[in-house]
Amino acid sequence: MHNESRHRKLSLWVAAFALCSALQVFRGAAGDSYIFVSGTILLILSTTLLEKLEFPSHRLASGRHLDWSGLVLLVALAFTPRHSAFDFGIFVLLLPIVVTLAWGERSRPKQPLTKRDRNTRFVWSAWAVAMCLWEFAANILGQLSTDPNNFPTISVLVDPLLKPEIGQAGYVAVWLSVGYYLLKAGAK
Amino acid sequence: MNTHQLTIAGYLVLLSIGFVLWFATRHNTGSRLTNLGTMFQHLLRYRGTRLGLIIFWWWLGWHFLVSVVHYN
Repeated sequence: MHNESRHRKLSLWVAAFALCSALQVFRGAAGDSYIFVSGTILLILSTTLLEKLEFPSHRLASGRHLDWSGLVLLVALAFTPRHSAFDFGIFVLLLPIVVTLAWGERSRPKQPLTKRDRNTRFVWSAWAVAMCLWEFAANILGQLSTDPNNFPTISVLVDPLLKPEIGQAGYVAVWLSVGYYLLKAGAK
Repeated sequence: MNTHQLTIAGYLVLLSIGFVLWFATRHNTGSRLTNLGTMFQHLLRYRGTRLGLIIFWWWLGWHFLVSVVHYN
């Protein structure tokens, strides 16, 4: 996502979030539009006006706080009804906490990448872009089609799997594991 | 094959490619590609990447656990 040859103020994540914002507006999803537009603004601010603002998140992320928080969230989210006010409250509280932890220190100086690193970044970026394009195409074609189920999105395919309790618990466990990894690895 | 099946087939093909990539590089011994963990360790040095990934991760939870997915 970053060009090593020169310093870039705005990361490509800004473009990715702006694109997602446009798609959410096209879908008419007001809540998701608000989330992605806010995310785009925050990403821009993080490398411009608020660039010098730092938060020593490694102290919190490297201790046991994150382990216990993950366990509490697992119990709270895996076995309570989805779409409830309780879940809403947890997610509203969780967002500023994880953003602060991920904020951390300023981006560290760029290091030259090896050819293997560049190849890996290119291959996985291409894979992610292909996945996003397929999802975006399904989303757009589904809305233009007479029957949206002609072009199912990932949401439409995954949501039924979460209806049984075991599906919901499995999703929460995988989702929390990814977040735990991102915060731990990002704080190193 | 109708468009519903074709769309699902596309997702499955892409997921399979991702799995093969991860599986083939997981020991980080190849000469052409590093493993996913090494790549993330590098990318997470950047605040933009950390924020982009964590906000997207949070949204994935929000989308399936708080929002209601509309089927049509």
